[in-house]
Formats: sequence, structure tokens, C-alpha cells
Amino acid sequence: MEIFSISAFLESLPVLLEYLPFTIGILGLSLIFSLSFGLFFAWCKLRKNKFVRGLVAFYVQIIQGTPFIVLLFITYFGIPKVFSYYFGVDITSWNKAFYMVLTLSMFGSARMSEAMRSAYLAIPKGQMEAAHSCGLSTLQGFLHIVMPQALYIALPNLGNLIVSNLLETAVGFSIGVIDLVGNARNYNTRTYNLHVFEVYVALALIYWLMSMILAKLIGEGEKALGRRQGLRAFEKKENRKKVQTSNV
Amino acid sequence: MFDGRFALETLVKVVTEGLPVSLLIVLLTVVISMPLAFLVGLLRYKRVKVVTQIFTVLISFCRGVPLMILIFLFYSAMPDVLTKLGRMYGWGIDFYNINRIAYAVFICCLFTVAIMSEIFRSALAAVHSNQLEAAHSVGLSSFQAYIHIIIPQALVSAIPNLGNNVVNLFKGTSLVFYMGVADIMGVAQSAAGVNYNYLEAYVDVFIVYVVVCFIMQKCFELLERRLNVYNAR
Repeated sequence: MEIFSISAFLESLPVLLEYLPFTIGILGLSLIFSLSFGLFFAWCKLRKNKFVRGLVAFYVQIIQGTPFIVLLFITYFGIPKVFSYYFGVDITSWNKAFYMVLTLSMFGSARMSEAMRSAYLAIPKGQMEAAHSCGLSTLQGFLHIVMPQALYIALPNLGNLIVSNLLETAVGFSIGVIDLVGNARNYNTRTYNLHVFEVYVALALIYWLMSMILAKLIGEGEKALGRRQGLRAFEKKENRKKVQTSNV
Repeated sequence: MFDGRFALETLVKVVTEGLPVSLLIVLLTVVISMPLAFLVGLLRYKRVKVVTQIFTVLISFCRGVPLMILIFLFYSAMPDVLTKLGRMYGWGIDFYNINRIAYAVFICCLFTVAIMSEIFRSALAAVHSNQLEAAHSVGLSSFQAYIHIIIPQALVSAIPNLGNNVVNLFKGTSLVFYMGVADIMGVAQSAAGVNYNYLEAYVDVFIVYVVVCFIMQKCFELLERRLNVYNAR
């Protein structure tokens, strides 16, 4: 009786990896949405209008106080009910990945808006004033002067959140999405649960590798951004330390 | 569409039956993993050879793998593996009958130690090296300096991150119902299963989590403000 059968482990790997592109697709889509909505929410938080600010702060507080899986279940059970009750449309046949992307985007955008806002506030006002005095418009000043610096400050935090978005994709199977995890569970059933341990070790290794690669890529991006901005960006290290709180 | 009465009844059930279990898991995990995490953080801060490398890999694993997969790995597979091992060496323990809460606490500890040790390490690194030199100059030994000067300061600066971590841990316990623990999610699901009132049950869970997380955050903020007294530089 062997504890870890290497042949079963190697056999399961190609089967598991078939669904890797699907999980990456979900992650990519949700990242596009959460980054853009995160930017929008961060912008809302910096408005003078108290109502808008309060609304967004409330939303962020609620999302941050809820486990991802609960949010996922609520969208999964709630949205079809609302649609069929108020509009008479049956959307239960829609692909379940839709709920996954929607919830991940909600979750990611709320948390990323916080990182973006604090990074924006870490840039001294003088930068924008200097841009104005050189004749740049506010938009130009933001795009060319403020945003690159803010991005450099925000990247470590954003990177953490991006990796945590990746980790949250693992609960998608609970609403029946067939992704990496769902497929692994199906494979277990097909093989009569003989090699559960090997399959889950393989799954854990795949996730570990993915999150390490993602973290590495973000680190490289940060370095490249730092180089492009020359030495001045590196002097801001104290600023970055203040902003950075690791959550993952 | 929304069964209000059922929702109210389930809310009471969730708060009275599920919440204590979840909080118990959080409490046990924090109590067990805090000293362990501090030790690991100290070892990594001191760069003790071999131990540092081993823990670096372990911590990277626990942080890079979703909690869900850790639960699968340890809960679905561990009893099998342990039983096989037990049969090989003749331990004679029934690993399938160990209390599920114990398994839940074990898994939560794994992942909490990994994160907390990082927090403690960075907190120790945040205490300026001048402090140690100053302690030496007034005649304290290194050990005394650590006990009286460095560790208290590090703990104070670690509090905000620790609070965050405890809230995250509480949110993470929403996954332990996959191990059959009757926590907040478990109670809600079994109540909803009777008449398929899943939406109502999950809205209840949602309310409980939002409220408890809010209270926890406020408590930690209060504690932080209190402890800031010691942070006067």
C-alpha cells in the first residue's frame, strides 16, 4: 500500500491542465473589469460630493466584510430570481462562469479602489501644479505625470490583490463552474476517488506555481516602471512603505 | 420572491448556532497560531540557517495556494493518508472520527501561521536598530533588550495588520462548512435545504458576516488607538 503514487500524480496532471486556460480566462476577464471599476470607484472616492463618496465607501465596506463565497452564492441564487420575477426572463441556462466573473469583479474592484486611492494621494500636489505650469492640461498631467508615479506606488498592493483574485477562483466549483477545481473533482469521481491525495497535490502545485509566476511578473513590471522613471521613483521608497499593507 | 419569515427564523438560528462555532474556530486558531507565528517570525528575522529556508518555502506554499485547496488536501485526503500510515506502523487511531472542528482549526492554523509570521517579521524589522544600540548602551543584555524594548514595540506596530488578518481569518472560516462543520454557512445551508430557500439563507449569512466584521474592525481600531500611547517617539 503506497501513500503517494507518483504514476497517478503524473497521469492526473495533463487532465487537470486542460482546464487551466479556462481559469486564466475567468481571471483575465475579471481583472479587466475590476481594474477599470476600481479606478472608477477610486475616482468617486476623491470627489467632493459627499453622497457619492459615502455610497462608494459603503459599498467597499460591505464587500470587504463579506467572504467571497457568500457573495458568489448571493449573485448565483439572487440574480436569476430577480430576472425571472421582475422581467420574466429565464437566465438559468446562462453559463455559470458569468456569475464567477461578475462576483470576482465586484470583489476585486472594491478592494483595488482602496489601493488606487491611497496611491493617488501619496503623490504630492506639486506634481500636478508643475505639470500645469508647463502647459499640460489636467488630463495630460494625470496621464503622463501623476499616473505613472501612482502606479509605481500602487503596484505592490495591486499585485497582492491580483494574486488574491486568482486564489478566489478556486471556489468557483461550488456553483458548478467546471474550471480547474471542478474538473479535478470530476476526475476524482471518474477514478472512483482512488487517488484523491495525488490529484489535490497536483492542484495545489498548479495554483502555487500560478501565483508565484503572477507575483514574479508584477515584480518585474514594478522594476521596469521604476527604471523608466529614473532614480526619483526609487527615492519614494518611504512613501511606498506607508501605503503598503500586505493582505494576501 | 423573498420569504421574509423564513429569513428571520434562519437569522436567529444562524446567530445562535452557527456564529459561536465560527468564533470558536477563530479564537482557537488565533490562540494557537499567535505564539507559533511569533517564533517563526523571530527565527526568520534572525535569519537562522536552514529553518529560514524551510519556512520560506512553507509560507510561500500556504500563501500561494487557495484555502479551499488546502481544505481539500488536508480534509479529503489526510484521513486516508494517516490511516494508511497508521496501519503501516500500527498506531490504531481512527482518523475518520476525529472532531471536524479540530481539523478546521488545524487547517486555519497552517494558513494563519504563514501570514502572521510575515507580519511579525516585518514588525520586528520596523523597530529601528538604534533601539537595540540604546538598550546596550544603558547596560541591558541583548535578551533583556528584546524582552523589554524591541518586542513590545514590534507588537504595537503589528496590531493593525494583525487585526486585518483576524478579520480575514473569520471570513476564511466560511469555507470550513465543506468539512461538515456546522458553522454560519453550514447552519444556513442545512436550513435552506428543506425548501430550497437558498437566497434567503445566504442573505442572512451575508448580514451576519458584514456586521461581525464591522464590529471586529472597530474593536481593533479602538485597540490601536489605545496602544498608540506606547508608540510615542
